[in-house]
Amino acid sequence: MNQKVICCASQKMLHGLLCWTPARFREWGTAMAAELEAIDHPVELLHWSLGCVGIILRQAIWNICLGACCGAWFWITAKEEGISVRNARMIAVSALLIALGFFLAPSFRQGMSVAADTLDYASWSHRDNSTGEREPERLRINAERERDARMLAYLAIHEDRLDLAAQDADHAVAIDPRWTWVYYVLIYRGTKNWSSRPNLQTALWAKKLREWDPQNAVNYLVDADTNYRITEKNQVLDGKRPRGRYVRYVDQRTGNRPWMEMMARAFDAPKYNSYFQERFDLERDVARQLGSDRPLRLTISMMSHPLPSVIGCSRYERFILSNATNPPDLVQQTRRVIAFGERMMAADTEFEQFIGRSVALDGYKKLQPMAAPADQAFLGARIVQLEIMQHARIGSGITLALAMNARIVETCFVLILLAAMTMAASAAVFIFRRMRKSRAIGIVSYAAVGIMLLASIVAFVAYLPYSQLVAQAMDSRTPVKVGLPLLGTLGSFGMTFLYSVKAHVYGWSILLALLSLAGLWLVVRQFRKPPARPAVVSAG
Amino acid sequence: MGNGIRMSRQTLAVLVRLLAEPTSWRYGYDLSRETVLKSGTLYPILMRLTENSWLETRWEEAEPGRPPRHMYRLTTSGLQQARRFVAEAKARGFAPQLAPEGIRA
Repeated sequence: MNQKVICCASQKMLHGLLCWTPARFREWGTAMAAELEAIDHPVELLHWSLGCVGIILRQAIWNICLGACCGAWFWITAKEEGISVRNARMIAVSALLIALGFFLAPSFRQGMSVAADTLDYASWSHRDNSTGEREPERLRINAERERDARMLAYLAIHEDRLDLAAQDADHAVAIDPRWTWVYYVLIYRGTKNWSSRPNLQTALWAKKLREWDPQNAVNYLVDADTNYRITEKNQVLDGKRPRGRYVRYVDQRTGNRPWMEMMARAFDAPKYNSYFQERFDLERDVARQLGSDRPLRLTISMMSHPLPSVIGCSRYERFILSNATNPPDLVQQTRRVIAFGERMMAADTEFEQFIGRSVALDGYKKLQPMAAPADQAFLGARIVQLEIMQHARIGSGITLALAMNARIVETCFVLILLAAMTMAASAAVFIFRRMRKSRAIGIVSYAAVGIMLLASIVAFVAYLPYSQLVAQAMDSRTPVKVGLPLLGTLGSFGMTFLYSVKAHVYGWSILLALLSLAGLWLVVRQFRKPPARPAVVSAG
Repeated sequence: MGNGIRMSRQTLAVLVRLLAEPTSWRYGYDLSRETVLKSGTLYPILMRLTENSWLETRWEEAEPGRPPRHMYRLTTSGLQQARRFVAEAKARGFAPQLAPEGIRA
């Protein structure tokens, strides 16, 4: 009984599948199915059937991928292969549905968004509207109504207009003072790209920052830098001094009393925090809240987070070490420098860690000859250790390892775009020709479907490693020290040849559409039916 | 490699079985039992051998109530090439994994 049931079910399954296989393979499928009658044992029967199903499925997948890729092949060889046009259409529709089905996968959508953002020059221009939110005004109204300090802080960071950003930041801080660090971002935005007088609000924001977190060295560093830049800019605008060269600029900085006082307080502050973790948490939380899945924009936004002036740190450190009046003073200054360098080494970004190591190394090297013999070995070991760390490669090897995947995803994105536009153009031509069927349109459409399916499969597989890394980075438990390098792997995206042209994605879209239409027109012209011959009238 | 056919252990095992009785027609299931290969492995090999004209195939005459079965045999050129490749493989120490003679159909 069992055997009969299994045999019957296996045969039905195999025969059902055989309908989907091309004619050239159908004979082999029938041959495999015929062997079922000769098998006595039910388990063997089942094994045999499953093996055959495996072969048929492999052939089917091969045919869908390769055959649909050359959809025209189905059309042209339909007669020879014994496949009806209806079957070819069914395969094409199935392939299109599968291709579109990939868009249901979040990782695929994310990959496409990353590739689109890569092509979109605006996302690389460090414009701070990182989520691409089109309705910041609506968000602002909602956030103010609900007293959502987090959203207001987010809007303050991403608002292009500084006056509006300051307003949002003030509201956010009034609701919850924990968002005072947002002023840190605004200060740098207020002091860059000065076209006229610097924004004097920056001094007020720096003061608020210092009062909110007086233990943080960064708040003094930013104040020192901002104040000096405002002073210098005003001098330049007033015509009191020419635009100096870099060396002259630095020399003048060390001669500036308020700058020196702020730097001294920064070097003596017990902690160093440039608010990367706070910014990362904010970006992730709001992205989650808005349902935004554009990791490349988030990465760019994080990369645009300001850093204190490292030149200022380095310059001040060298200044105090070289201007120590006597050995005890020198020892005291080196200890200050080392302590500051060690604090900076615990920062969240590799760049700050690098500068911190550099500052600490200078201090250790100065201190070693003056230290007691018992401490010299320890200092020597620390110097060697820091030098090794300093020469280690900055950046993640994963980025390089995945570079090829990024290229593949980008290429597939372009192919999918091209295929979609070709299909749209084919449909338009079909409608324009008053629904008259055309062999050429059919060939082009099938080829587009095949290309879209293949590109979707390849893009999905190629983006998988990135989606895993992004998922890890977006996990709220992942600290910024780990998360940022993971997101940094997206840096391997970026079609250099497209980027160099600095074209907007819509420009490329229009170009591709025009190319598709031109190609379609050429094909239609090629396959156009010859004009009907005049009827021959028989003389008889 | 032989004329586009990858000479895997499984392919050689199939050739050894076909060489054992080169003139007789063999069924797929019998070859599967003798070579201890599953259908998913055996049929792709048979397909490749047929595509490369090493094998000829035919359908047996149908008995009432049973579908006709497909049968396989080495062609003349296939026989020569199979002998050559199996001899070379044996010289390299190849010993195909085959089922005991007792279970042959």
